[in-house]
Amino acid sequence: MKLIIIITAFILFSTLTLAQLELTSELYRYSDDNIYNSAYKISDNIYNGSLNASYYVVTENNTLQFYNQNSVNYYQEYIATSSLFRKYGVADNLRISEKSQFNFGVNYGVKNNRDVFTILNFSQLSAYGNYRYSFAESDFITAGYVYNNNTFNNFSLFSHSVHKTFIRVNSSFVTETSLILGADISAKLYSENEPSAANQSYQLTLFGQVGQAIGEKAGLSGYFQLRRNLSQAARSFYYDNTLFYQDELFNDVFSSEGYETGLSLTKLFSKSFGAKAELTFSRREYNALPVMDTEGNVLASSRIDNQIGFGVEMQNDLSNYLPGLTLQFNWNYLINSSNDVFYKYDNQLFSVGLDLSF
Amino acid sequence: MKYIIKSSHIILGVFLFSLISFAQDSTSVGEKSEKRMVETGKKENMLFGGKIKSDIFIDKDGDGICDFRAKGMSFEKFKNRTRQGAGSGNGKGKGNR
Repeated sequence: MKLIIIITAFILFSTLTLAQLELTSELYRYSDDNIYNSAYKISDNIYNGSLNASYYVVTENNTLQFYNQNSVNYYQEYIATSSLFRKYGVADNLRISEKSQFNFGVNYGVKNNRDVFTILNFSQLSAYGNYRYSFAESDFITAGYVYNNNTFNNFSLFSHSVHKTFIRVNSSFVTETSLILGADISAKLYSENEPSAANQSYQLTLFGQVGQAIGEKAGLSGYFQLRRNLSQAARSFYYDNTLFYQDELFNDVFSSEGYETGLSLTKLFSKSFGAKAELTFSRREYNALPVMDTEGNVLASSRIDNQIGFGVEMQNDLSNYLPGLTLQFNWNYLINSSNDVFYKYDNQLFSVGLDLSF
Repeated sequence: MKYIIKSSHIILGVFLFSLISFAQDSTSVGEKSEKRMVETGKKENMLFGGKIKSDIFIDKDGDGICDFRAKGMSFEKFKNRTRQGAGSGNGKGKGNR
């Protein structure tokens, strides 16, 4: 009898666990003709595999989620560029009332590279909280705070924390038009103080997006984003007679200001097949990043990039063949013009991949 | 001996039952993920007492397509993946950018 109770309890527990566990996996192949996005056009094929798990604890007014994400980028020819990224986190959605909810979470991510690129390894601790209030069925406002701590083990000079607060308004109208307006202000504080230079940066971002339905199965969308540095701190170091700036090693949004705008057309051809075409333009001014020749002579006080991008994306739900399976295809082409010849380049990227969730 | 046979029968029965349950589950994984999506939607739509109607135009991501019509087709995955870097810092969770 005891044995039956134990087994029954085990089965019930297993069923409960299975019902609340979500697994997703992705496998992509990228054909990239400029993997480092520079004038030295180096091409490679990249294989990306990821495995993610989420465990949900759902009650009437709360959804708690524990998750783990693992992603591998394998470069076929330039193997040393390959990397592994892992993230562990907790996210919670608390529904306070019919009109308001609170979201908060914590996550920790680690990126490990190979061979000489291990110098680029980093870890990141992130925490956030935001509050959402709905004025009407189709209108809501969200305000929140995000904290990131980025640690570069081999470049402690660049290690920093970022504090960001944001506010965003979403509205949809009977004309089948949607509007998103947002603003955020961010502060970047370096972990190590340098007496001879600024140790913090502040940046303001304004964002607007308008969507318009074209019939029931198509939509046109346009957006504009403006970034302004309120104050700036740029750090660099010399290695092998070359000056390296932080933005050249790690994607650093604080190193530039400017704007980005774009148009996209999305079309759902059927319940299982959709496509999107996109055109974007961006201008970035790197005010603390001088343009230099190979001898180290300064040619311009700041680097300025203008970038045009085109993209087509297609998605096909293959659940008829295997439940939870989706096929994705992407083509992207961008042209980057710059007053720094090293950053005059174009880049074409094809990717095809499968997503499986169960 | 009699007891052992009975226990092994129970264990075998449980094992077979688990196999059947698993087989049924794996054939309905699509339904399960769809159900989860619906459940999540339901939770969100509990705002205003679950009175949100599917004929109301709501477009949270601003792509111009009504969220109810898109039914989970996500065109943002690629962007999210390619833009992930040291500065992104985003995790799961609603409203986290």
